[in-house]
Amino acid sequence: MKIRHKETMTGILFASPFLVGFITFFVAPFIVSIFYTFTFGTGGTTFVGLKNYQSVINSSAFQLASYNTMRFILVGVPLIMTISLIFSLMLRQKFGGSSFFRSIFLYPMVVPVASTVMVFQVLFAETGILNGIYNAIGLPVQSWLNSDNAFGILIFLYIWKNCGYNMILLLSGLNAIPDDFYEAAHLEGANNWQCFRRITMPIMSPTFFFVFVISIINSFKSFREAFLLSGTMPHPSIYMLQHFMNNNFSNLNYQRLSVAALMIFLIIFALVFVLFVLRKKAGDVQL
Amino acid sequence: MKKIISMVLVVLLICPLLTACKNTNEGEPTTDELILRFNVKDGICYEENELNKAMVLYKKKYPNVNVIIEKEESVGGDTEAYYTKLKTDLMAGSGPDIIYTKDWFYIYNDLYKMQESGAFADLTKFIKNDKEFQIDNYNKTLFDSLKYNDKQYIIPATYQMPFFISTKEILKSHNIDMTKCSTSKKLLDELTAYWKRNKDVDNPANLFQYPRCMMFFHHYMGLNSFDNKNKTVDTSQDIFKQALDFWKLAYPYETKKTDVLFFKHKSQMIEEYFKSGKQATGFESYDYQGYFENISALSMIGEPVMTPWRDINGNIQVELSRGALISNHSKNKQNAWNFIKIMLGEESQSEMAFSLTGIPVRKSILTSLFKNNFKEGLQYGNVDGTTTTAKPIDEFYLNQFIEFQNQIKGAYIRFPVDREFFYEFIPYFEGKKSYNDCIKSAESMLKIYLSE
Repeated sequence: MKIRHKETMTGILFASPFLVGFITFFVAPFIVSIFYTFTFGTGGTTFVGLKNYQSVINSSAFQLASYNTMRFILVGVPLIMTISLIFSLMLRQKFGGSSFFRSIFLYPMVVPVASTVMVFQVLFAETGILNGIYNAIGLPVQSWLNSDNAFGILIFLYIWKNCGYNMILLLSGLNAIPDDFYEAAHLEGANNWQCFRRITMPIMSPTFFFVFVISIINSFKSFREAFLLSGTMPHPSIYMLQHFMNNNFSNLNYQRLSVAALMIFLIIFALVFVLFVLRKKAGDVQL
Repeated sequence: MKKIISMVLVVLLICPLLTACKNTNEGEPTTDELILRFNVKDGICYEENELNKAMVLYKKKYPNVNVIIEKEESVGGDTEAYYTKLKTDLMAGSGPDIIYTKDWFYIYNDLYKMQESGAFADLTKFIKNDKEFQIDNYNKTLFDSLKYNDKQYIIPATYQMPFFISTKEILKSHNIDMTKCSTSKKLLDELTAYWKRNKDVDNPANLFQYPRCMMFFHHYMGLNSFDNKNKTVDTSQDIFKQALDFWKLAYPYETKKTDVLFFKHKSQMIEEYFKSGKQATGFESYDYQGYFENISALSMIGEPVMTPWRDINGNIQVELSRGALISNHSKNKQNAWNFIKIMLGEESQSEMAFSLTGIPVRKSILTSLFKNNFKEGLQYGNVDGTTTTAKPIDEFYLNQFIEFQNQIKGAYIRFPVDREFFYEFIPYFEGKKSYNDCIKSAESMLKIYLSE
């Protein structure tokens, strides 16, 4: 008992620097911002109950932002997972130059966001390269960034930037699967699709779960690109929850910002929790 | 042991919660301090220069109050970063007691939304209860126009008025009759007729300096195209379409000349641009000094004509230039209010009139300022090193100016989104999109903006 108590205390002692930092910089501000959601005025001077929640939920800007954010996650995350899985399955095959391609796919990650956005602006501006090509072949020029096309461009940018990272994670999960399983399955008469469904998918489920969560988190980071491409008031198709929060910060409305942030937290928490429960029910395959 | 650790963690979590509970006592002079913060841009602290007189007088009247001046440098001239820091400090419960607003402030900040957030103190009771403060000394219309939900958060210090400037001779030579322009509609009719006559002329004279001031047209006209108070968007008025059709007509010509002319104070340029035929009129929002200096300069080439852009009802809408707000968390609200009163006093307002800030809101000094500063003719340096002295400004222009002030029916504050709103219509001006498509896009953007 004494030894266990000592071990527990030692563990807590080693974890305490992290715990203090985590509580100070994440947990405490989080609790304070929850408190602010029930107040009005800078510094949270007046208690107003659920008025802020009512105001935010009824705001058409918030409704649009929530819709766009959900749409982005529902379109972008499955797309990026599918594309990165396809690439990782392809790169698992040993062929000449496969290690070169693995590096290439990681390059978008290391390119600074501002540089990427600058290139995209040159590509998609009214007088940009793409419209130049359109003009040359007799097609009408498009307003890429100031139209519904902006959503597609942002999805493309998100996939281009993050596909490599997901691919590497999935590739490491794929490489952990022994080849014997596939050999045995082929001997039993299983085709490639059956091997994928019965061997790859179950063994990869922890990796899929991890990549899925990372992809959702990265989808929220797409705000950086949207903000740099189109400023604080982008085209309605790419107006995200972070735009709503950022603009409320500019307007000193910390309360509305906190309500929106709390709602994002609840959505992500719910998503991850559901996935976690599903994964637990399915169980992990032990190699 | 686990229970003890858990309880300690809970206490640690609750502590920040308790520190967030603040209580402010409004109206009580709690400390003997006053904190002001100014932006230093390109090595110049404009706000300090503008409020210099007020600070000197304040220190004289309240020697026991410690006036703390915080100066923040805009690195690389990035004013937006300065305002971001200011707002961060305000939200954190720190920052200056007084927020002094000027033109850059409105470019980066939506004052209406900030008022809505409860960041600023309601000064209504200060105005009501302070016997020293006589609202009749000021242009009360401005104060009332700038109220938000019947509360006075911002105190106007100066404002600007939109004017077309030219001479009688130049207008006649271009067949423009500004005397007809008694409402926005009639003005647009007259200017549209000008461009219809001149669109095929080689190098026609401009009326504006694109894009300065063009994007605020709906403010000049007194249209509530987007009403930040009521969160509504209304672009259905016929005059709105008429204005956009005018810009569409004028756009190819007004955008040809890329040099931006500042008609406010570079008076020598007036002679160059008007005499050479580059401009038929100049358009700008004028401050006190610039208004009379331009009359003086124009008088050297003809009989000056100053025509305000009148709203749809024939009255004048003015733009808030300088103002003051008191931070809601300030412990020094009374000290801050005392400073504002001094800022609105005769001496300080007189100095502000000649600091390129605007027209002083204290109407009682407008005549004396003219008599003290424009009695003699102004002198202008020529290229060859000689000096020309203009004739003294006729009192007719002073009387006319005073009459214009009496015709003020409202004041507006620029929105950060004014520029984006105007740019939504550029495809229409360039013939790339239909009017309805542009309106739809503009309204969609505004509805999101207003409901944030």
